[in-house]
Amino acid sequence: MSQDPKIEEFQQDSLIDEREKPVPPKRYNVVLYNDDYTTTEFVVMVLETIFRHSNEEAIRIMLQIHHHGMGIAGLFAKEIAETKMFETIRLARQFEYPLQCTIKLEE
Amino acid sequence: MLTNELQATLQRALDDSLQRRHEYVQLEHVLLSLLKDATAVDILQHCGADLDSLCEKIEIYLKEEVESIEDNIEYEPEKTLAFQRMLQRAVTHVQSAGKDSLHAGNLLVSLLREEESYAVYLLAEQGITRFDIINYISHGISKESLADFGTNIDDHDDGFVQKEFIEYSFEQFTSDLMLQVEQGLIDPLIGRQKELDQIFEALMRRKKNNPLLLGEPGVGKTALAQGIAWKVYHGDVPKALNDLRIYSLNLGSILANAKYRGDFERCFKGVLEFIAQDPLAVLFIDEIHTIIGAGSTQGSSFDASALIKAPLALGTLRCIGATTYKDYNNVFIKDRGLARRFQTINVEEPTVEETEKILHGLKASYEKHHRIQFTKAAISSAVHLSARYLNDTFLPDKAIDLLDITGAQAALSPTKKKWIKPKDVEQIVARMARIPAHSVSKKDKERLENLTKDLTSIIFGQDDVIANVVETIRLSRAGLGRKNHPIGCFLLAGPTGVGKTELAKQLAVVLNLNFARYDMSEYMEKHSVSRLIGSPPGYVGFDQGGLLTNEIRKNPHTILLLDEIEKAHPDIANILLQIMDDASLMDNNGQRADFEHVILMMTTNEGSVQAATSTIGFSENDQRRGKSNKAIENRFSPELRNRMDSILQFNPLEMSSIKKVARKFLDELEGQLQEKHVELIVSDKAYIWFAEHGYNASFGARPMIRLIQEQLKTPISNELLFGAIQKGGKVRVNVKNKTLTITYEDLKGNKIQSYKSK
Repeated sequence: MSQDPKIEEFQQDSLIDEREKPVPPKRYNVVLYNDDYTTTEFVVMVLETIFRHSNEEAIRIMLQIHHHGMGIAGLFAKEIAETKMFETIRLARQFEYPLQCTIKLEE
Repeated sequence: MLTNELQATLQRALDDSLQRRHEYVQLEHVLLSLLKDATAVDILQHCGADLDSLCEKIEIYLKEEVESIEDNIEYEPEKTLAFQRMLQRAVTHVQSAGKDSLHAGNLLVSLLREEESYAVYLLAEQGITRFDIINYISHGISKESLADFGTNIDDHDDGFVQKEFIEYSFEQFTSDLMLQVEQGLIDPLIGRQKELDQIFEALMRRKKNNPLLLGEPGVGKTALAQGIAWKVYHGDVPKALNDLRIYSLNLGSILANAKYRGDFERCFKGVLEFIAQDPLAVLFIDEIHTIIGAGSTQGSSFDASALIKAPLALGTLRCIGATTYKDYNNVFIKDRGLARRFQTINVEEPTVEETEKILHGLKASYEKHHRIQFTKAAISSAVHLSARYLNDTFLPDKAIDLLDITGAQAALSPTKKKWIKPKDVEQIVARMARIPAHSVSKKDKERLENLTKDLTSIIFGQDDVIANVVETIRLSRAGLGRKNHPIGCFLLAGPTGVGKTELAKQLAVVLNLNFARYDMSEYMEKHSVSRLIGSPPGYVGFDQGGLLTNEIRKNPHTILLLDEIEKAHPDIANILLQIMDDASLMDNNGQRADFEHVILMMTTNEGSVQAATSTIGFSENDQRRGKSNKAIENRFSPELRNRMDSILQFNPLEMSSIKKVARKFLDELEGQLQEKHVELIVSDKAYIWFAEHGYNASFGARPMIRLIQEQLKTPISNELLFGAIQKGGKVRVNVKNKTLTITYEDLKGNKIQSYKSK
């Protein structure tokens, strides 16, 4: 049943709360994508500083991205994941690398 | 923009994150810090949050789920995107609302906008929604935690209510009387030993151990229950009842809290379970008749009384009830099943002596409140006066009220009074009972002394009658009047026009009393009785009550004049019997009107006809009287005549009296003319002329009035309107050649000869 668009708009403001039992928040993966311009050193640096991996871990993930197109930098709560994603992109843009980063719901 | 409190809170969150060496400052840090923020705590509590549980869970999360940075690295935690978003959102909202300060509530609202955050999840788990917070900070509406209880109950088949809930409902819906005694809110109980013994006996019974206190409003039923609590607290009860705990039920708050179907029953049951658990607990239900019908929904007859019937019968619930006779008979007794589980105990009005003792015991709190002190005599007079004059209410309530009002008046008076004396109490009683300025003040005494003189100067030729009436009034004022009897009942008989109605009127004026006149010619029909005392239920006018009863109730000190009583319907006479005998009349509503301060006067023309016929032989007066009496005897029933204080026979007016009457009316005319700036001069001869021509033994003073009107007033009024004396002047009345002459003189002194009488 289609509702009056005004009501829909209202509902989107979620003044009315859908009373479902609250579920514990799911976690998100931060995914880095390969591209032809971002250097491998940069990716490793990002993984080490922002995601605080050890050097070996960082290289392993980098290679995963390099060879398979994308790789998971880490699994976090959404709040943290999105912050890290933002930091990654900001850092990349600072160095003028087109590194792409998204977050994906954990499966 | 941010309140100081909120700034501190946010800083605390930052510090906390740093201390834990967390990478970022997350929403969870903020929430934890908010749990120490006064504003946030207030809001969350009113939204039904369990703050301790929240705190615990967040701590666990922060310890176990969030990574810490190793110790040797120097860093500063960053705010997450979510944190910044939340803050920004809150700022934007507050700004667009036109406000300039942002507090923890705004932040909470913004926080709850974040999705998939553990902090938000925790709050949601507690049942807090964004709407709840908004509702509270906007309008102060707290969330009903009751509904939560409802959904959290495990479904037990035996219907037991959760333990937590029982305690919760108990605290909310009852008051612990022992606690109140401890806090000094309850006054000690004085006297009432007989009732106390009965109550204790009832409480000790095996079955039906529920005393029901019945009494008129104001006799002390609630005070009795509270007094028992006082006695138990101070150990002044028989040993078997030493550990009693009395709780007072607050039915109103249960009803107020019940939103959904079943809420009321659940809460009420919670209370009952609690009492049942404790064998020493007793539930005091004031106004117990309200239980019947309480909490029932439309169509269902299941109410609070049904809930208590079972535990009452089993004896698991001990209950003290209190209600008035009226409510008991109208409401409570309709539910036979409930009524039979109670043992009724009559609470009587305490005696005057007992009331005095009670008042002595209570006066301390009143003295403190009004900052005055009551003399012993004042308390005694309060009790006696209220017992005597305030008949609608009951002791000890009315005596206590009297003291309270007197104290209040003293506190308000410009002169600082320290001691309350009987005089002050009398003043208040006079006002409350609408007694005209009494208590034998000097002015009043003078009035009584001069009463005969005043009356004889207005009513002429009836000295015996006046003496009789004055005697009766003085008797009553001296305090020797009969109780349950009007001040006086008089039948005024005599020829027409001699001053019967006038006497009653003037008496009221001189004594400054209310005057009520009922012309019995309006009450000649059978149904007119209902006009006086009110119509029976079902008839039109049932609500309005009776004219007579209302009048007397409004003004208990009245001169009641019933004119031409012989015309009234015999049923009216029957009412009179009651008034004269018992000094009280009950109207259709069952309320009594008190006639104790009424002077009842009835006029009749009966016997005047008979008396007018002249006879041969014995002195005229005696014959006349005898004939008149005979006629009265025939007309009025013995019961009526018997109850009268005296039958006042008015004499027909003699020549001397007529002269005085003439003089009186002419003086009156003179006064009227003076207002028009006209001087009236009547010669002596004119007076005599009037007296001669106006005298008619059988018609009394009325012919005189008519004569004056014809001969004087009419011609004068013509001149006054159109003639010489328009602007003022003189009018001389004289007699020449046995005819009346009126001479008009205008302001300049021009004489105008005038009319001669016929």
